[in-house]
Amino acid sequence: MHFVVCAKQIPDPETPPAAFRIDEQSNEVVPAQGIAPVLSQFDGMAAEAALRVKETAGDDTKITVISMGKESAQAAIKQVLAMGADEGLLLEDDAFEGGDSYTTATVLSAAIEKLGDVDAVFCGRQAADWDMGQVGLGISELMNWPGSIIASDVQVADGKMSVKRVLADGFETVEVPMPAVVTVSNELGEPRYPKLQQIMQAARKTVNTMTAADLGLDASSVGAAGARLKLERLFIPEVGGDCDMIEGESPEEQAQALVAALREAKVL
Amino acid sequence: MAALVDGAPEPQESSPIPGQGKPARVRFVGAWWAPALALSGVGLVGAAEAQRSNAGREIFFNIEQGWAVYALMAALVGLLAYGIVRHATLWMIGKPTPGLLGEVPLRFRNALRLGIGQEKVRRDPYAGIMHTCIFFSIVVLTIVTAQVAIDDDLGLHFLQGDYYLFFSFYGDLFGLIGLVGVGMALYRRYFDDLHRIRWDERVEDHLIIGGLGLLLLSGFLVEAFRINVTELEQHPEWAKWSFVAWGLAEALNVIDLTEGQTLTGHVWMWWGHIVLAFAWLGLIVFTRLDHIFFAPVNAFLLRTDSPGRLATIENIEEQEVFGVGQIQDFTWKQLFELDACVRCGRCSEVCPANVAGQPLSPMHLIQDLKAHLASVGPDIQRAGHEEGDVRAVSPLAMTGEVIGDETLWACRTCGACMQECPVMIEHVPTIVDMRRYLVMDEARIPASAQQALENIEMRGHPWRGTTLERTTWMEGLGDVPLFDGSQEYLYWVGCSGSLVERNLPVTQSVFRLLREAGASFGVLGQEETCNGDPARRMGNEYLFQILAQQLVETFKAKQVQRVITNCPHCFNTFKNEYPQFDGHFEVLHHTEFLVQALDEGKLTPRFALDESMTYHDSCYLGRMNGQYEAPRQIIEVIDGAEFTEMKRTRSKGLCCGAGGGNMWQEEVGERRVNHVRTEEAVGTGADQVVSNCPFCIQMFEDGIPSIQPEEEGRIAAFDIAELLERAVLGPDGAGSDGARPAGAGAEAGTGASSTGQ
Amino acid sequence: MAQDILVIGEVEDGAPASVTAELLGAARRLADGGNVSVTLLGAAAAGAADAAFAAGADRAYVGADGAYDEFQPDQWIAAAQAAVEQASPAAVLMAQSGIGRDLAPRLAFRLDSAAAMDCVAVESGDGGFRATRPCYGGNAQATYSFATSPAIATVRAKSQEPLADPHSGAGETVELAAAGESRGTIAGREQAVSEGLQLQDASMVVSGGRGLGGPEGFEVMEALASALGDDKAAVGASRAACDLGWYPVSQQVGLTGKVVTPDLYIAVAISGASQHMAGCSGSKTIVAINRDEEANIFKSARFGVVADYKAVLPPLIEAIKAAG
Repeated sequence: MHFVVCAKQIPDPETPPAAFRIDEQSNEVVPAQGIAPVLSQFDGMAAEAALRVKETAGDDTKITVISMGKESAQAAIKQVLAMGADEGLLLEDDAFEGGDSYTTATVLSAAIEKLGDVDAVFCGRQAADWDMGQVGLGISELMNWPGSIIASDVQVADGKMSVKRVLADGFETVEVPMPAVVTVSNELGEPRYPKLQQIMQAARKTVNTMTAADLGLDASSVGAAGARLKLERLFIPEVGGDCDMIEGESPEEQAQALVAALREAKVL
Repeated sequence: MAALVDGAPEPQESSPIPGQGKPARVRFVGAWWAPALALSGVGLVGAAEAQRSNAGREIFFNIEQGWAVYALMAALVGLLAYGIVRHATLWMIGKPTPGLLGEVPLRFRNALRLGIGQEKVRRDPYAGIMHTCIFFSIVVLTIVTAQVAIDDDLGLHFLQGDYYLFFSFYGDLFGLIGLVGVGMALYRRYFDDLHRIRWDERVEDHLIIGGLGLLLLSGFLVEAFRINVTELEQHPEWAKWSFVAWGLAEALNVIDLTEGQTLTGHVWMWWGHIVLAFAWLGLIVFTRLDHIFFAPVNAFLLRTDSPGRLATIENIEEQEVFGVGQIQDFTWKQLFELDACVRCGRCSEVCPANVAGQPLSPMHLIQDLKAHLASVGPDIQRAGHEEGDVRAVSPLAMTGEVIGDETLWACRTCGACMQECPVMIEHVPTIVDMRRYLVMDEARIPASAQQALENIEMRGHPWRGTTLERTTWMEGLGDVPLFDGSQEYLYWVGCSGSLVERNLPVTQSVFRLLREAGASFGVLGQEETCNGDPARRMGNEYLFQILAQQLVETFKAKQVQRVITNCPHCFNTFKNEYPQFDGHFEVLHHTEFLVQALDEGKLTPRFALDESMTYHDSCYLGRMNGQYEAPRQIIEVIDGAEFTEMKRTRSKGLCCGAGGGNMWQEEVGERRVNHVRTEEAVGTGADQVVSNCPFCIQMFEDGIPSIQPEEEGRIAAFDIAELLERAVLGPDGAGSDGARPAGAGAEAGTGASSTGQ
Repeated sequence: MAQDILVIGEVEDGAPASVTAELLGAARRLADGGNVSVTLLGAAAAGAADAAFAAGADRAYVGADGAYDEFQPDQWIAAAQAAVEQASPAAVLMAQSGIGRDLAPRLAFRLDSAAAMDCVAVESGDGGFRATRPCYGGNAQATYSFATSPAIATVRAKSQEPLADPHSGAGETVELAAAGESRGTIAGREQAVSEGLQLQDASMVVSGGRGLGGPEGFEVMEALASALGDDKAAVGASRAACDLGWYPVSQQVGLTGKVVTPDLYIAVAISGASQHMAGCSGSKTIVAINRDEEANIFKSARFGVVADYKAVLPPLIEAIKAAG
């Protein structure tokens, strides 16, 4: 079998709030000093899901990790390679810049098409920067493959993918024929810690690069030119406001004071 | 220097204050057996004073098969040779042990001091007296026996006259000393409440101590029967020199035996004694008695560098196995060490994990490894020779099954086990070697530890989820100079010092004190990054090496020469481990800098603090680097400070629980280590527990509400720098509000009053 | 400018779900005199139509087929597509629910248009339809316009107001086809084991975070919830605490967990990362209990207590019990 894992490199979501800044002119996040971009956490979980399937399916399963991004996204690809993926593919082209979920899914689908023999695509449930959660389903629509989202467990047997999905009040197991797309949630568990041997093997692997032309995509259909959602404004919302600090000589006093305050506010 | 961790070259129990050298330490080393020596002296003088005599005795009196001794001796020698070969073939499956040929004179000194001199055995006074009694008894009685043999075999016949009498005296004296030791051992083994020596009790333990007791007693009885029928009748004044046997011989008279019966009894006793003696010596091959040889040799093999330094995996990228996954991945020295273990339990008694009921007992770990070596070693050795698949031999994964993951993760790398081990086993490197395998080879890590490691890789610090920046602590401090190579010191704040809320005030205190002292220093600010200590101790040597190499380059590029650190872990890594990467810097922990500044008059404690406090030795400033004095000297110069030591203190101090990456792990077991240690701090009755390590302070702050649920009267945890800042700059940083300037109060000029033990 | 809006409705207990009523309220406002339609799918759909009309709909596309009761994307997307084709709306709104998350992107790709997910504000003006939504884990918000039509948006529950007064006017009901084929089959369902009150239904939520230090901290949290009333209060947890296995993932509050909007939200030992706040910022009153006075959570809290939870929760539980 041949699996594809889609991986995105994003600004570190754990950037301290004080260091998170936005350039309101360009509607862009200002990269925080000394804070390197990271692999979107859910994509790590998608890789973990694919690797778990590969472990049960056997060694003839190949995993290709694909990332659309700049040269620096090599690091995200290497990270998934170190976890145990077999090949890496970077989709890099200036034309890809400034796109939306639609153009991203378009580029990734073109790459998957190019690979040819793909049986399943694993994506994170959402990229932890824009938090949209559309690209996986977009690939599923563009490829016309079944898609299942927010998986906490993925199994593959007899040409079928069985996905345990996280619902608001529990779980649901869905079976779909392959090829199929699945998006993975954090309930699946932490991505594995790579073995050193694999880290070093990954470091030695060359990551292929493809451009819009290589994928047979017209520059007008990708990136900012092809985007259907236009970002009008990016801003930091004002939060909360005045917090009444409950003082007290002892925790007992603080507890009493808090209860009194809540009663006064008619919350209790 | 009895406070040394081991034979390392001077872990600088330093006192940077010139002219105020090391406080005189009362040394009881060997003092206990001075009476024995004195008695010998009395005997010698007595013999000289006594009437010149032709005293002496017939060797092999009443014994016709004296040759049997030589037959048994030959058998014993053969057995010992067999034992050595058997052990050695197992040790040799290990990897080469680098660096053993360095520092040979020091190694000999260690063998003498720690091996023969048994310095560490005496860290437990009761066991020290007991063991030294037995040790010297065996040594002297062996010499006694050897003299008998020489006298007879070489026909020298020097066991005559006055010397014979003195010989008889000290033979009996050391036999008696041996019995005292055996008595103490029997009491501990059979009457003491479950003593550590019974944590892993085996049949051989009864055989060894019971056998030795019987051996000594039978020796006295042989002598008594002989004296009863010889000296007592012919030369009663000679007999009294063998004072123990003489008493027994007199006692035999009470039973009223015929001479024939006595002679028969003598023969039986003689045979019993000889057979027992050789059987007991034969135990060396099969039991932990082998420590007689292994302990001094292991003292010779003991590392000669700092115990705070872990070995580098050289050419890590070319290794096939990372760390130790199977028994043959250890060095042969590590395998040798397993055989040296005597199951005394001292390591486990002081191990913080074991104290808290967590799944690590260093003694059992060593014993489990030893048993595993014995079970799979021969097959591995064979497979190695026949070029079989060595790694397929063991049916069990050593790292993971023989030694469980949770055992390895429970280690705090605090070094207490190594500090106490009387046979100089180095547990911590052995444990870290197996962690290296877990992390780098198997990638099997507890989730929370993994998060810390990933965070170091991704963000350059272990504090996942912090909302602080490396410059947050600078707010409100005015101009904080960045290090540019022109300053004398680099003040290394560290990840905890800048990214953990509780530790920020400590960083600020150190900063203000540095400024007050007029030090020339700068900080790296955003350019700081983890120096790799947690990664190394959690077993990710690869990550550590990358971080260390990068930081050494940064330091060199910035022309750093002297570093002051906030954190004893950073301190240890810079000082002891960066030289492995050609990073040679002069490293001071802030405690050391502060005591220096006090001494040079650059800092003056002008404010009295009427506070009571106890001091917690952090493992990496204390045990690993021998710095016990500087913090105490700081407390001493603070006017009004009332100081009480904790029961476990200095080199015997208990870890706070955070070391070895446990700061970022969930604890498994009955209790949390920090609760145990907090209880001990609270037990002193002090208002404050002072330490010098950001982890320790966090652990205390975490533990205090559990131990003292009532906020009223709670103990508070402070860094020594915060304490000194209050004394130097006043409680509010610069004013005197609420502070009583030193010299104005009733206790003025008395300095610190110490109620320490 | 009058425009037609389509709401993809959800039916709960025979009536439009509360979030559907909120969407209809928003749709009414956005339609600005235009037509508002709603899709209602499932066995109980027909019965829910009147309530949907009262909530603001002019027309209901009803697929009264029990097969719709289990959400199957292939079946629902066909129904939604059919409704869009008939209604030709300028915008399609749906809830940021399990269904909306799944359906909106598919519909966008089917219709060659675009969707904005998890919106907290939707508006219509000269520049056309605009949607504002949190991003960067809640650190930022982004406002989008749409280059294509219809504009599709999923909207966060409780972010929109339902109509204050029932909408008048006879509603028109249009039948949708019965559910078609589905490539997927549902092989099983598991109800999350959660004793008592569901998080989203609780009027009070007490949540614990990594700062609790271990699973035992949640025992105190449960005691606090009990003191507040087992029928009112539920216990939540931050993602950090759930990922560490200290509390079931079904109780996770935050961007990738539950979004809760109780009257009272007590965050204990939670630093207040934006990803967590995304799940609770709609609460009426937030109380933060944290040792770290600099913790981000205090920025969003109405009341703050700087204290160790171990020290302050036991007396707080007592005080709440005493207050009855």
